[in-house]
Amino acid sequence: MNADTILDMQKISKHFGGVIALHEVDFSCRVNEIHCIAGENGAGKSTLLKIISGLLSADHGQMFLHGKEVQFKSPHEAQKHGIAMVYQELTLIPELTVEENIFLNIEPKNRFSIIDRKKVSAQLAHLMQEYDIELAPKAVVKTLSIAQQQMTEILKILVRNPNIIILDEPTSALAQGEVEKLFHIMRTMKERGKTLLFISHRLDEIFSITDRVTVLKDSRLVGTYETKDLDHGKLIRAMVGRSLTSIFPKPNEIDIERTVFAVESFSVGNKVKDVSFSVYHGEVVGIAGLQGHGQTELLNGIAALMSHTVGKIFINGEQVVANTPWDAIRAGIALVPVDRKTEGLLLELSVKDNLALASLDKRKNSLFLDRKAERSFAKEMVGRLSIKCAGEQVAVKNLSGGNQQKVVLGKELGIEPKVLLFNEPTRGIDIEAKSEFYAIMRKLTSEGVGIIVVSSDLMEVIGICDRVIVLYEGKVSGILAKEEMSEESIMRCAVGLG
Amino acid sequence: MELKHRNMLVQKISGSNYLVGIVLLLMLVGAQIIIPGFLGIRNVGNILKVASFIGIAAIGQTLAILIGGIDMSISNVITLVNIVTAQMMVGDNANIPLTMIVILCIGVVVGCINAFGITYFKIPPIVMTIGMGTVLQGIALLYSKGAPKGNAAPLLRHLVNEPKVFGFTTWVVVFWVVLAALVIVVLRMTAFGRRVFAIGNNRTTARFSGIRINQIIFTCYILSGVFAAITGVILTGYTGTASAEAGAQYSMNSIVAVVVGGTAITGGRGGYGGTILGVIILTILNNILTVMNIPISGVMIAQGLIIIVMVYVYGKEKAKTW
Repeated sequence: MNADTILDMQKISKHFGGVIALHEVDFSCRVNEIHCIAGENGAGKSTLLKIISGLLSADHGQMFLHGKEVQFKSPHEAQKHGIAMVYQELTLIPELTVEENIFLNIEPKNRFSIIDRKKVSAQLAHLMQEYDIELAPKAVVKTLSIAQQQMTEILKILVRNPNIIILDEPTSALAQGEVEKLFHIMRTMKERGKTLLFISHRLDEIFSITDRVTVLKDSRLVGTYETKDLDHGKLIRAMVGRSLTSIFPKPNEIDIERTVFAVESFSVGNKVKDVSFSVYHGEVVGIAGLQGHGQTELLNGIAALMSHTVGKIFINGEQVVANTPWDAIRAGIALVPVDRKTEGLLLELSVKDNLALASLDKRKNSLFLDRKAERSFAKEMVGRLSIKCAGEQVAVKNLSGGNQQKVVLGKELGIEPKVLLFNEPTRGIDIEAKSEFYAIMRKLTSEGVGIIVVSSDLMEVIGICDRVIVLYEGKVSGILAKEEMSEESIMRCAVGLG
Repeated sequence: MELKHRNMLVQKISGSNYLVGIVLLLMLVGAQIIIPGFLGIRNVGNILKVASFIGIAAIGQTLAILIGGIDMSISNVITLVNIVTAQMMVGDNANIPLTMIVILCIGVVVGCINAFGITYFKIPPIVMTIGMGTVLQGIALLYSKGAPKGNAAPLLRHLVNEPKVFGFTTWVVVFWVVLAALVIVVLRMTAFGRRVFAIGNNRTTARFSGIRINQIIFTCYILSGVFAAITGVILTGYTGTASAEAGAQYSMNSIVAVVVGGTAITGGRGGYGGTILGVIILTILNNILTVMNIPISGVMIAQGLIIIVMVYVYGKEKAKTW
């Protein structure tokens, strides 16, 4: 064993019922490193991290911390041993301030058991300076952006001074600039001698920040590599077991004579201002921009989910007036929302029930739902989108992220949409599912469905879109054709320099 | 696998947990041992008669809870309707049609106001319906001038009290059975039912899926008001007269029946089949305790404990199935 090794896990196995989540996985990490756990969804990454952080306990195998065997029964125990996790779903209390959240339960007190606010402020200021983080300590958490909330979460963990910090997909909700800031903080943590375990689906990020990568596939260890010995191709091969020559399908013929969808002078409150664009037959149009510049509001506005919308919407040349989501759906506007768990799915219900949800009226025998039709519709979608599940009766909460996202898409396809809006369609899903998603999008455009994709993943925007509209402060700051698209050109527009 | 399948079938039919069935079975066996003749035809008829009152009121409560709300105004609708019915009928069958129109209007209006406050002003259902209930209590007092009078029409008394159907049960029980079948079918087999569950599960997803949430919420609260009103009429037939306290226990008892029947108090899971079992459990418990000469205080303590224990048990069940 290397002297630098802080955590060493041997032959870790974990089962959930009959399903193997981890099979005899060896894993170790060192002091002073940023270590990525990579692999497709369902490969066992989260299970491994949850075992390290004490949320789950392994069925078999041993775990050594500083050479001593340990076994955590709860996250609290893991924390006492200096292991802390920044969860994907943030765990802050929205009504409390940044400061109150950070010091929750470890507030410094004076001898009368009253919270010593001066000490709190001083400690926090010191920490923020050390890590170069800017946040208003008195701000109420619910008023902060996702990125700022994440900073708060990270400070909350740092103030407890852990040795090992686990970050589960910390960049999935962040825009480019925010990711840079986070990486700066992560590097500072590393310099302070901490170990960072990190999950990301974005290959560029893995290469730009990690020292080593451990790849899991189908619940087993593929290997642990020095990042400098890897390239994109090698890493993808390790993750999926074969090389993906291109995950993006070829573009279709675009027919500029036929406009599938158009918005004219579209505004949503003060979030989206006077946006006009159209989508031609065969085209995928991207909407890019930094987080919070009106992309989500634009999509939700088109789907009639927002109040205070002004402007005209045309489908196949005819104006559509939609005042409620119900109207929009009947007009053929479908939306795959940004958050599949809270906006797209009923997690407790089955795959079949979720697929049927948006188009219940399409499958009725007079008064009653036609169960046969529902079943065959579900079967058709499961086949068409290759949704991996143990049957249509399984609750969607048991599916992996990629398959859940496919269920959301299948639900929207049920209404036979004329235009399909995607908000971050592949966030948090693995490469294989991503490429399947892109192929489906292409197929739909060739069938005449207009597709609009909001994405903060620039690789994705460049790869899948035929044209991209960049928003800055709710206004169109640039429209880029395929050949003009690059990360730089999009970013220039996104910061308002278009 | 076979067993799992069977359980799913039971769950589908009752819309709840097979646990409720087991509890009911144990109670029946226990009761028959403690009280000879408990399962005799007369007592069964009697239990069904009493169960039908709470059973009809609990239809609305089931709907309100399934969509993630609650209806605390049921008690007060029942009391108001009881007073109005007695006063309007004054013991004459000829007054039945007009009385029915008026009390159905009461149910619809109360449901509308509840739903309006909940949807448009975003008032939490528990607050809205308690507030509304208190207003109704005041109206009842005003209307009766503090001294409820009048009595039920003979036909109504006959339908509620006389065990003329199949020699052991009343027309109201038949009415309940028909309603129950209807409600179960609507919840399980229609788009409306599916939407009710969708809203209770996750309102945002339901909205994003194009479900007209306000429409469904209005429907559920209006139905709750109407079924409470009908219960009020039936109760008037049962007691024959009006009382300022007639419906007092019904909000709470209907919630107990719904929750004991396995419907999640947070909505989205369960169904009326479970509520029926809950209603019968509740009625039998009352019956046993009464026969055993246990005072009302004991009955209340037992009910309170049962609801807490059931919710605890269901909570554990759910936690296990993640």
